[in-house]
Amino acid sequence: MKADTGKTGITEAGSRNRKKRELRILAFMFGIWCIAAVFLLLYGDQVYSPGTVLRVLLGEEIRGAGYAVWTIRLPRVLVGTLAGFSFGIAGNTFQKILRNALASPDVMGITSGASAAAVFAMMVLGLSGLIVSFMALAGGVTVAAVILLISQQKEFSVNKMILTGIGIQAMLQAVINFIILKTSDYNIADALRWLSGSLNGVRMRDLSLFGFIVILCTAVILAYERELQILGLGEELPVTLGVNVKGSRRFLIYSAVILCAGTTAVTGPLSSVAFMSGHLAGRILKTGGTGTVHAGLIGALLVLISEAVGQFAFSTRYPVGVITGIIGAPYLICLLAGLNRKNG
Amino acid sequence: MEKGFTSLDHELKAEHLKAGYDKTVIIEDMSLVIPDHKITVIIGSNGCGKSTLLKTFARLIPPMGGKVLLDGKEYAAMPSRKLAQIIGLLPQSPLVPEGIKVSDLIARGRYPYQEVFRGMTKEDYAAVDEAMDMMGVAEFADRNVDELSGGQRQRVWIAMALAQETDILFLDEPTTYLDITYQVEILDLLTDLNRKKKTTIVMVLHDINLSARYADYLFALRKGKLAAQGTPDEIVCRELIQDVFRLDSYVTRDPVSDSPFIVPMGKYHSGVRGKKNASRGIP
Amino acid sequence: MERKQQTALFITVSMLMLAVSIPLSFMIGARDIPPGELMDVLLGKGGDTLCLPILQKRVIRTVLGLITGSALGISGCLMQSVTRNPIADPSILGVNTGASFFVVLGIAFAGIHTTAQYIWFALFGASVTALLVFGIASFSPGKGAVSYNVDPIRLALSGAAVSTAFSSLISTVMLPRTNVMQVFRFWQTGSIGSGTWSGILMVLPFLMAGMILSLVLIPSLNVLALGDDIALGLGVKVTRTRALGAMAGVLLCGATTAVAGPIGFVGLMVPHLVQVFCGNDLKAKIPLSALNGAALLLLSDIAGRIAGRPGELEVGIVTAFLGAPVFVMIVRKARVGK
Repeated sequence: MKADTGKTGITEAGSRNRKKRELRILAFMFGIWCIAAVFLLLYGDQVYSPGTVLRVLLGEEIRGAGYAVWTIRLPRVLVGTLAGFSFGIAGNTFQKILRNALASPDVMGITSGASAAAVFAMMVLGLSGLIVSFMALAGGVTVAAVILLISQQKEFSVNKMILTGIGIQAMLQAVINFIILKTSDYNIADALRWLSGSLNGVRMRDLSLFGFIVILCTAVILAYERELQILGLGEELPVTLGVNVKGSRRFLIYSAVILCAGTTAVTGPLSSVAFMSGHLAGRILKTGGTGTVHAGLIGALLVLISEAVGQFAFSTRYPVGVITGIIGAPYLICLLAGLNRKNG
Repeated sequence: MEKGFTSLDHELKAEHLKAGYDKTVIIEDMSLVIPDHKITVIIGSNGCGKSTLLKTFARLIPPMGGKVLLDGKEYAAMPSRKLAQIIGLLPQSPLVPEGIKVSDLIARGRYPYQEVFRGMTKEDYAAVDEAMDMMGVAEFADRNVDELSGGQRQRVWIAMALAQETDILFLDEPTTYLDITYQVEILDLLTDLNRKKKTTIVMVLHDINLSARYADYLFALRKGKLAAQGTPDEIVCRELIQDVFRLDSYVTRDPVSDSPFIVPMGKYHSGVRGKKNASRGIP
Repeated sequence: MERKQQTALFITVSMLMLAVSIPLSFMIGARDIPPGELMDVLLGKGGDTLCLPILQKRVIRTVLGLITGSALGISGCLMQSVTRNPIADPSILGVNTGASFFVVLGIAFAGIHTTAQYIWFALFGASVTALLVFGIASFSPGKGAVSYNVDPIRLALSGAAVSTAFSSLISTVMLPRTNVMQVFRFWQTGSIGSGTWSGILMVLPFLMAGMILSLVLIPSLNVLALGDDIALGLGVKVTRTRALGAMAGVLLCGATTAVAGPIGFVGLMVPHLVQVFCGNDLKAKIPLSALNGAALLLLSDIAGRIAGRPGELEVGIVTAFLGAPVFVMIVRKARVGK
C-alpha cells in the first residue's frame, strides 16, 4: 500500500524545531529583561556601580545605595516585572479565548471595574491601604462574573461576551467620572493614581502576596494551555474533541481576571500592556500557539522599558502607566489598520 | 497491512428524538439507527432538520426530548474524553487560528488521548503522521493552514478528525464551499477512510446526486420528520424527490457509478421527458 | 393588538411622557416648586419672588434637556443606521471620550473655560474620533473604492479601544496638572444643570444643522439599509450618504457633548425602543427617536434630582445606569455578529 517512508517523524521534527525556536526567543527576551532590570537598578537620582549594587544585593550594608536599591529600585523592578507579566498573560488569555486580537481586559471592563471599586472605596467609603486593593480585585472579579453570567445564558458566544464587556466598561467609565466629580479637591490626586498606573511607592512587602497570586494564576493558565489552544478552534470542535468547554473557559477567564484586577490593585491600570503583549507575542512567534509565557515576558519588558523611559527620557518624571498609554494609542491604530488590510 | 486503528463496532441510535435550538423545536419525534461501518448521508431541503440532527448526534446540541444512545448509554452519562475517542465532527465552517502549521492543527485532534502535563507522545506523533499520509497533506506539514487552498484545507481538517482516531465521524456539509474537483476528491477520501478503517461516516450533503452515489445508506428528512430511509437504490425515486424537495424530477441511472441519478424538471428545458410523461398521463 | 394601533399608542404615550416631563422638570429640584405657584408665575401673577430665579434656571435646564435629548436620540439612530450596527452610540464608539480628550487639551494648553470654547474643541474632537473609528474600521486600502463591510464586533471593539486609548491620554495630560482636573471633572460627567441661554444659542445652529441634514437624508438612508449593493443599484450615492449621515450624527452628539458634557446610552437605547413599536422606517424612527430621546433625558434628569437630594445625580450617570442593562438586553436579543 504505502511504504514506511521517512515521512514518519515529520510531525515530531517540525514540532521540535518550533519548540527550539520558541525557547531561543524566550532566552533572547530574558536577556533583554536582564539588561532592563540592571539598568533600573543602576540608574536613578544616584548612579551606582554594578559592583556596589551587587554587594548590596548580597547583603552588605552600604549607606545610600542600600536604601536606594532595596527600598526603591529593586521593588520597582520586581513589581514592574510581575505586573507586566501578569497583564501580558491576562491580555493574551482573553485574546485567545475570545478569538479576537482587540478583546482584552482593558476594553471589557475588568480594569475599569477594579479602578471603579478602588475609587469608590477611597472616595466614598474613605478607606485606604490593603483593603482598597482587595476591593479593586473584587471589583474586577465581579465584573467578570457578571459578564460570564450574562453571556452564558442560552447559547454562549464570544461576541456576546465582548459586547457585554464593552457596555459594562462604558457604564463604569461614567461611574468613575461621577465619583471623581463628587470628590473633594483634596483627594483628587489620590484618585488620579488609580486611573493611571504607576510603580512609585511600591515596597518589597507588596511583593509576597502579589507574587503568590501571579504565580498561582499563571500556573492555572499553563495547566489549561492545551484547552486554550483548542478553544481557538471555535465553539463546536472543542466540544467534540472532549474539552470541558464551560469549565476550562471559567478557569482560564477567572485566572486572567484575577491577574488583571489584582495587578491593577497593586499598580493601578497599566493601560495597553494587556492588549499589546499577546498580540506582539503572536506576531513574533508566528505559530498559532498560545504563547502564554512569551506574552507575559513581553509584558514585563514593556513595563520595565516604559518605566525607564518615563523616569529618564524626559525632564518631568512620568509614571509608567502614562508611557504605556502613549505607546498603546498608535499601536492600536496600526493594529486596526493592519487588521483591515488583511480582511479587506 | 494497515497500521493504526480499525474502528470498533458501535450501536448509535436515536429514540423518539426531539431537538432544536433555544425554544424552537425542529425535530419532533425521530427514531433511527445509524448503520455501523457504513457511509450514511442525510438529505433534505433547507430547514428540514438535517443540520440539527447531525449536531444532536455530534453532541453539540442536547436533546429536548427522547434520547440519543451510544451502545445503550446516553451521551451525558459518558465522560467527555471517552466520547471524543469514539465520535468526531468536521463542522461546516471551522475556524483556522492564525499562523498555525498543518501538523500542529492535526495534532490538536489528539487531545482526547493526552494527559494533563504530558506533551505529545510517540503514539500521538505516529497518529498525526499517519493521518497526514492518508490525506496526502504530509508535504504541507510545516506550512500555514491559511495558505492552503479550500480542498487542501478540507483534507487537513479531515486529517485532524483522523488523528482523533474515532470510530464514527460526522461531517456537516464538507463539500459545500468547494470546487467540483475537490468535492469528488474529498468524498473519495472519505470512502477510502470507510473502506480501510471501517469508520462509520455520517454526513450532510447538499448535492443529491453525489449523495446517491457515495452513500451506502440515506436518511431523507422533511420538515423535521424522517420521510424515508434505505439504500439509494431502495428509496431514491421520483416520488421521494417530490416529497422531500418538492421538485419534479426524472430519476435515471448514473452512467459512471450505476447509482440513482436525479435530473430536475423545471418549466423550461424539460422537453424530452416532459412529453413522455405527459403521454403517460403524468402531469 | 394590530401594528398600526401599537404605533399610534406608542406615539401617544411618548408625547404624553414628554408633555408631563416638562412641567415636572420645572417643579422638581433641590427646592420643589408646587404646581400652584408654578401656574402663578407662568401666568404672570407674580408669586413667590424667591422661586423666580430658580424657575428661570429650570427653564433653561428643561430646554437644554429637550434639545440635547432629541439630538442624542437622532444621533444614535443615524449612527446605527450608517454602521448597520445595533449598538452604535457615541459612548460605545468612543466619540465622547475623543471629544473629552480635545476639551482637556484645550483646558490644559489653551486655558479654555467657557462654553463657546468647549464647543469648538468638543466638536473637533468628536469629528476626529469618529473619523478615526469609522474610517479605520471600514477603510480597505487597495480595493479602489472604499468598501464598507465592517463586522459590528470589530467596530465596537475599535470604539472601545480608541476610548480606552483616549482615556489614558486624558490621564496623561491631567496628571501633572491637578488644576486641569478640577475644571475638567465638572465637565466630564454629562449634566444639563449648568446651561445658559447663550450656551444654548451657541449650539443651536449646529443642532439644527444636524437635524435638518438627518431629515433630508431619511430616504437615502432607508435605501442604504437594504445593503450597499442594492442601494447602489437603486441609484443612491452610497459613500456620500454614509459620510453625510455620519457627519450629521457626529454634529449632533458633538454639539451635545460640547454643551452638556458626555452623555451616553441615550442614543443607544432610544432607537431600539422606537423600533420595537414602530419598525425600522426612518421616516418614523428619526422623529420618534427625537421625541423619546428628549423625554428620556428629561425624566432621567428629574430622577437624578430626586435621587441625589439635596444635591443631584447628574444625568450622565443616570443614563449610564439605565443604559448598561438595556445594552445587555439588546446584545442578547439582537444576536450581533452571528
